Amino acid sequence: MSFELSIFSSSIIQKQAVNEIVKCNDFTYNYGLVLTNQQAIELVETRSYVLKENGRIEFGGGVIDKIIKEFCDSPYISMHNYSEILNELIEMFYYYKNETLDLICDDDLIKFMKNSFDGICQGSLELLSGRELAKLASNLRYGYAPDYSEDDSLDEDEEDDYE
Amino acid sequence: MNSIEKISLIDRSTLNEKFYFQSLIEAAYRCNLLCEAEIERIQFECLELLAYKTERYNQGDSSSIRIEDAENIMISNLYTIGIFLKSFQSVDDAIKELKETKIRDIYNQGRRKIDTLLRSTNHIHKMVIQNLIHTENHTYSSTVIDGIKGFFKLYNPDFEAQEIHITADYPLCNQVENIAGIEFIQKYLESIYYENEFCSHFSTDNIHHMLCGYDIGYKDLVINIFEQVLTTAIGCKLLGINAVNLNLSDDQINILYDLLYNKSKEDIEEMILKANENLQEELSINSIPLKQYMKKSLFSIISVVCHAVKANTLEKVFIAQKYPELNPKLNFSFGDKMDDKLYRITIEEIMQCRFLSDKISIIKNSIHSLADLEELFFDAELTVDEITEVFKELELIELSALAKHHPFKPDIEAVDLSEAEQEFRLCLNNFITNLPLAKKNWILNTIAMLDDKQ
Repeated sequence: MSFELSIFSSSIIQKQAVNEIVKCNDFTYNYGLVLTNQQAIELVETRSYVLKENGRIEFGGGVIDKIIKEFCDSPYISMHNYSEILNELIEMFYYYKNETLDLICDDDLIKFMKNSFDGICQGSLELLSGRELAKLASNLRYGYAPDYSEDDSLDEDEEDDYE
Repeated sequence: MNSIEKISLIDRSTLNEKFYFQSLIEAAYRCNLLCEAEIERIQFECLELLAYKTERYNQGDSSSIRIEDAENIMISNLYTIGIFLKSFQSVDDAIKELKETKIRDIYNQGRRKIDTLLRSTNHIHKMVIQNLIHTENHTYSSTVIDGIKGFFKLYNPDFEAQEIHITADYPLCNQVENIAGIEFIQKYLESIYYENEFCSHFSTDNIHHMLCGYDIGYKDLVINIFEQVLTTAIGCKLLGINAVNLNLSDDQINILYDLLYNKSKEDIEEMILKANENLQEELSINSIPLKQYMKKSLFSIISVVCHAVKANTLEKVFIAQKYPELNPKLNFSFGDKMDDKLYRITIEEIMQCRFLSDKISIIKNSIHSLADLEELFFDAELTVDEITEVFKELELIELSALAKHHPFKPDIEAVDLSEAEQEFRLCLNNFITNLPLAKKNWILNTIAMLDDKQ
């Protein structure tokens, strides 16, 4: 008999997570976004894969429902790319949980992702992952504020020089 | 009539004390005391407990956690559960508890038990501090006082109950093995307490001189003081003399050798056990736990003595006292330095000489103190051969004083020294090494006796 954590990834927990995701359809339906049961299973599988890849473990429904509820009103998401974007967002989320050394809480990270995705990235997942989240992780690791930017500080220096 | 004991299918002594819960479950499953369904329920409840503890660990900020952190929390939970299950007198009762009670409740009971253990361990630590051995041994004081205080500061029973965070460097006579966390620290402190209690029967000076006999630099050694004291005291009792002074002479150690030579291990064991009884009588030791601790310590001492008798190294086991403060100290004066102007002229004169014989002649005539000669070695730009020739003109005591001032160090330790200084030291060291053995030994002994403060 073993008490290793891997034995706990049982099918019951997976089923529970799928049900929680499907339940979110009630909320996202108003935005014209619905996930099929198969897509929900895919999301849970993505989560399991990404958690394993990043050396993390999660209990309960996790953050998938939080991501769904935060991103469902995005103008850059529609039915044709909904599931695909969610998979990418889940992957990004756990990767950057590690990269930020757990210094940012789940809700704040999801909000940052949403604001950047809708704002400066204009719906580009590449920009979100490769630029905005990378910058956030670097700022947190070096003890700067999450929104600190070297360009801003350079601008300020230049302004000081002119004065 | 004797009370009837219930025979359990599981032998309590075969269970792992460090991972008690896991080994109990495994043993119970093997003996069919727990079925698969019960095991699954226990596993699932452990998972629920882990989920709850993880949430508390993350303080609700994060739903996921790194696997290594989760594993640590899981080990901590299982350790805490094990602490409670250990408190049952019989293994069967512990299994019954596992069957009937929720894991979360068992965990809470274990957690309360850890709190109690923490309080009692803290109390033992206070008692230990009150009966400390007054010794200059650094490992002892840094572990027993500062190290344990560090443990109480760092110990986190909620998420790292199995950790101790400190290294507990001071070795015990009877090492604490196969337990972890607060249990380890409690057992460690208990042992230290008994060791201190025993050593309190001897004066600080006697212990100090006995340890000096073991090694003059015992302050920096990682040794168990109690073991040395007990062994020497046993040696005294084997000779039938008072142990309280810990005073064994070299001759008495030779007598001990004659006494133990050609004896079988059983005979030596019997003699030492008898000596231990006499020792307890002489020191009026009545505390049963201390007596048990001493008896437990004797097993390693017996085997060390048997081995030493065979190897004829009994003087390393039974220690004769040494009094380093009585060693003669030599003071050597380097003398007054000459006038700076005159020194400069002398150096210039030496540097202008073509022949070594002329240089030596000037040195002999003009340099009258070792302080000036010492500076001259660096200022007069003498070659290695020339320096060696000057050494030949010096007395042994002068060479000893120079060697004390300029000890030779291997390259790695000499990195901070100037090149000239390194060369001079190497040259002096080579010169002394190549001297006849008697002269070399004389210099080495003198160096040891010369006062450091010069």
